[in-house]
Amino acid sequence: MKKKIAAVFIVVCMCIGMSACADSPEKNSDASSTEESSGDRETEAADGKYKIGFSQCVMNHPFRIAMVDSFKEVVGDYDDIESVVVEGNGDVQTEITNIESLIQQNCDAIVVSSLSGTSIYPAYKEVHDAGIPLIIAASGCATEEEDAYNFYDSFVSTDEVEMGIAAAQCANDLLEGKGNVVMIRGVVESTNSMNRYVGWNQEIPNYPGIKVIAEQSAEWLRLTANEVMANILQANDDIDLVYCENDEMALGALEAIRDADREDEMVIVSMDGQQDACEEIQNGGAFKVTITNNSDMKEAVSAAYAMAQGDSIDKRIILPYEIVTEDNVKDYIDKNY
Amino acid sequence: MKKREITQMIPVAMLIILMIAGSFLSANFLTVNNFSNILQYAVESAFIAIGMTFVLLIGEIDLSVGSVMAFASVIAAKMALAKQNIILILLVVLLIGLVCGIINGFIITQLRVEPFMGTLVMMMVMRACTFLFTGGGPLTGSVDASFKQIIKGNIANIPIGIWYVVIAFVIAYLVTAKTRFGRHVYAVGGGEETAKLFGVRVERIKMMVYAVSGILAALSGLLVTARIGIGEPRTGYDYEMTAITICVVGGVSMNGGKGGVQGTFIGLMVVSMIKNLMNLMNIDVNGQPIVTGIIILVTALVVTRKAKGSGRELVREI
Repeated sequence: MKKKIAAVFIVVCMCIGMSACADSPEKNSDASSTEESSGDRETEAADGKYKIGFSQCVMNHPFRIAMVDSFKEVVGDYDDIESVVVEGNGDVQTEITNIESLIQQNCDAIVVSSLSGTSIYPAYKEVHDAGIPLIIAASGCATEEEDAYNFYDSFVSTDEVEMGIAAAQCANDLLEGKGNVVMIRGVVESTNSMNRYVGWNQEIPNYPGIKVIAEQSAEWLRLTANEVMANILQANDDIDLVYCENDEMALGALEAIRDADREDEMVIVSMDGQQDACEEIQNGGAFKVTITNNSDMKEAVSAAYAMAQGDSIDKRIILPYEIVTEDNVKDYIDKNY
Repeated sequence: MKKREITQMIPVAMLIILMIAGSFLSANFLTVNNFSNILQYAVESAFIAIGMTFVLLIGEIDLSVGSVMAFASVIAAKMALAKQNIILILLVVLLIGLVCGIINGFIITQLRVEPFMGTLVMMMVMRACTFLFTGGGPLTGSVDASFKQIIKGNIANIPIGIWYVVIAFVIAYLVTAKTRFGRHVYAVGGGEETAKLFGVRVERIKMMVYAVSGILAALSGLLVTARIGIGEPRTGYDYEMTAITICVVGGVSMNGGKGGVQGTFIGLMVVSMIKNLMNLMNIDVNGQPIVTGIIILVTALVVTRKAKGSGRELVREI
């Protein structure tokens, strides 16, 4: 008897756990309308609306959440778009299942934002084979040499390699061509970190006076960056600039620098344009620059909408990044937060 | 008797060897400042590893610690951002830890679920609750400076984090070595049936052990919040693995009954020192896991040797 109760309890727990992990309310609400007959997808759906699906890989970062919020806001402005949002919980298998469910639901266009590198390509192929337009938003994307290049219709995002280059230029400007740089990277195998790293390394050889004296990973996290920076501060007496690949880490590093009482010695260059980072720039401490990744989904939605109507669009749509410094931080905060 | 004393010194010797090696590898390693640093950042791992030591000593495992820590951390952050009283926050955090621990204990002792499964479920559920609570991203805002003093202050010119580590280990040592509860923990780990015959209330001991583990995990969640001033739901990923590593490196057996918190302290120092040295020496990020793995393996090989055979002492101790 006890064992039966135990079994039931476990099943209930698992169900709660899984539903909490995998589902978003939007996914459920549209599950009922999946069994439409699959006619010509290029034409308008039966209820006079275009159905656009958005698969977000994970919802644990402000940037990813901002994208979903922006997506919902933008589609709200169209009268004839019906949207479905699914979330992959950071797991590529879940992402693929989600994208398959979007295909099942007869979406007229699908927007995918994934951090899973090449592992997600099979899902791109499935969308392509189903004849549904595929837009990739703010994530890594196949290059021309790869097969997967043929599976999507448009890639809409900031160029993160360009952001890396911009960061190196900012560092050079702040240091006036000479100084020691500490670099704190995100999860090194992630697409964002790789692209930002490539851009930075492309540009930095142009500035022979700038020396990267430490290069460590803090996994995108504030707490980890706090500890890593505290250690780096122990080992290096002469640091002029700290470059972090995202704001969360920059804020953790800043805390460590303050604890060590060395805020006057160095400046910080970072990426993302998060609200608390902008506030630090406004306060005028060591935090000098953050380069913003664009979470605006307007272009992606309009591309998806155009494709759903049968129009063709550019294979690559580059969103502008913005360099937020003391000079424009006030405008940036007013505009975005 | 003499041989036993010598074998007990092996982990300490290992630690000293590592420290000497470290001082050759980086000039900034063996300094007061750096060790103060290492200890301050080891507080969270220390708390969780002490809890894990108790769980491993009874021959079981608690995978939920990282998630409980994250949940307590975001709840504490929510309250701190709303400028709640620190004592109240502390009580809520303790309660979260206690409740999670008791649920773990209940699932395992009353429903007779394997500890691995029971705490795995707890790990998934609490992680999901954490993300549901924050809505995905971190809870941001500004907390009072007094709240940050939980981890930032000094007492008698020594950083408060070091006090936490020292006090936690002293208490844990006294509990395992000098109390009846401590002796019973070893008895349960040495053999449940035997322990029962000697009149140990096994289920109650297990409940208490999971409660201790839960409370310590929740407390370290509070410390994380005090450290970073926001509620980060990604806190504590893989901490259960870190804690188990620390314990096992320190000679705590995963089969129960063998090892002790002294070993856990050694394990904590080894793991924290490796992490610190990686940063000091600026070792290539992609290669770091290899270095960590090898050092942990070597330490574990040397240290766990001494744990062999010490089980014979158990029956006499009860």
